[in-house]
Amino acid sequence: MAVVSSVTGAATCEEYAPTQSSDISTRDMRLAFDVLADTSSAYVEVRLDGPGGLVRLAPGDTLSVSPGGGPPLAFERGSGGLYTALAPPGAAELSLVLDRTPPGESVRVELAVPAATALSVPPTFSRGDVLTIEWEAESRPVQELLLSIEGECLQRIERSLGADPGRYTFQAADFPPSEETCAVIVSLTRTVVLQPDSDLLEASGRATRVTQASLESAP
Amino acid sequence: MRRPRSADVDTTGTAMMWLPFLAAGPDILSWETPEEQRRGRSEEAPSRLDLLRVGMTVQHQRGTELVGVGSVGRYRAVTGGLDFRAERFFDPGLGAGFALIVTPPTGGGIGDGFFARLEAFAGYGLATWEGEVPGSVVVALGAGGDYAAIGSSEPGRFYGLARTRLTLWLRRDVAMGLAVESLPLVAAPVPLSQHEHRFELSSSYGLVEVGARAAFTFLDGGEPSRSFGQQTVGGFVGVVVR
Repeated sequence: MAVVSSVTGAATCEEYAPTQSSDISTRDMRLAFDVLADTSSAYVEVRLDGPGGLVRLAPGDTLSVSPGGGPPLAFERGSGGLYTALAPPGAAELSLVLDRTPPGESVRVELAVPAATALSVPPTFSRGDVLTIEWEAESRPVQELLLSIEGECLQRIERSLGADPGRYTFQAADFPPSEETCAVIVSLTRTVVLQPDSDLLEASGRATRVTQASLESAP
Repeated sequence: MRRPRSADVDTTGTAMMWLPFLAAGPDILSWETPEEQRRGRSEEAPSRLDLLRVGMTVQHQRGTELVGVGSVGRYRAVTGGLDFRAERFFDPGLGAGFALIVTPPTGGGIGDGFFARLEAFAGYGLATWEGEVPGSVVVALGAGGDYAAIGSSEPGRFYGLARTRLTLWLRRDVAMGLAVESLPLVAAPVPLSQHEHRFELSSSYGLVEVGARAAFTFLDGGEPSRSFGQQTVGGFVGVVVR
């Protein structure tokens, strides 16, 4: 027993959580996305997390986005370990596809981006009068709907709308007095928060579509 | 070969350490059987089954482990601590034993590096032989459990154990030992099936024994199912009494 009591132990232990996708089950991944679509493109940013933080895709595993059933567009790994891709602007449906080498399980996540629409505005408006802007209302719930107008002679005016009414009217009192004439931009920003169904991984994010129109603002 | 006899048991000079076993009878206190004495075998190294060892062990472990539901983590660990083993055989060759390994916590890392293993088993002296190189073969079946904060023993497991030990006496005071253990049945709270194989090669000179060990653990499971593994190599040095 004297031996037992005199024993001193020593230990060093190190654990390494996996960061390469080849070491990570799809079921242990979390996919966070952010889609920003405008009239020129749809920018898709994906953050793929695993037990060890950001996941780096191993050779054989690919992440792509398919706009509206079109051909897949590959993501590129950008700074900060996020994956980014540019998709065509008009698609209201985007499919994120994580294609994996077995035994990794491939997964497809469907994203419903707010539909593209056009803003109906007059070519010119007087700030002494009302300005009515119309668009096609989104049929699905929109978590954030923002309408703004701004230009060199018009300080930014922003309205957060609860539901999507499909039209909004700025009153003459909304515009500050000014004697200048200038071009102004009307922007409609619609954001939906998405939690797509997936049996394999947890996916969540937001999709935003920005629609703009330009017109001339007169005193 | 012949079946082991109680007279195969060496107790000379170590009786104090073997007090719990002395109830086996006074005959086991004799170094040799009367027949062996008649044959004038006193200069030969007898084949003996018993083993009592207290020492220090150091081992290096590396392997892969299940993270989440199906991911692979990696680890390595170096631990060191107490190594204790006792195996005692009685006439007609049946015996029992237990083994204990304890690595005290050091407060220096994951789970403080604490490791503990306790095993108990029933053995049988399968064969002993004389000749130029006397020796013996012991087989044993038992059960055990261990706990570690890292690796295949995390967060604890219970298992069945099959053990075989070969001892060869190269000289009266020089012995070589080879022990092979298998853990075919392992119960653990992690959702993995596993089995393990251990090998120990040792050499003793008088009361001092040194040895090397290797163990290989194979685990399968997770979603999707993967293979995991642990490789352990190490050594020990201790005081041995046979």
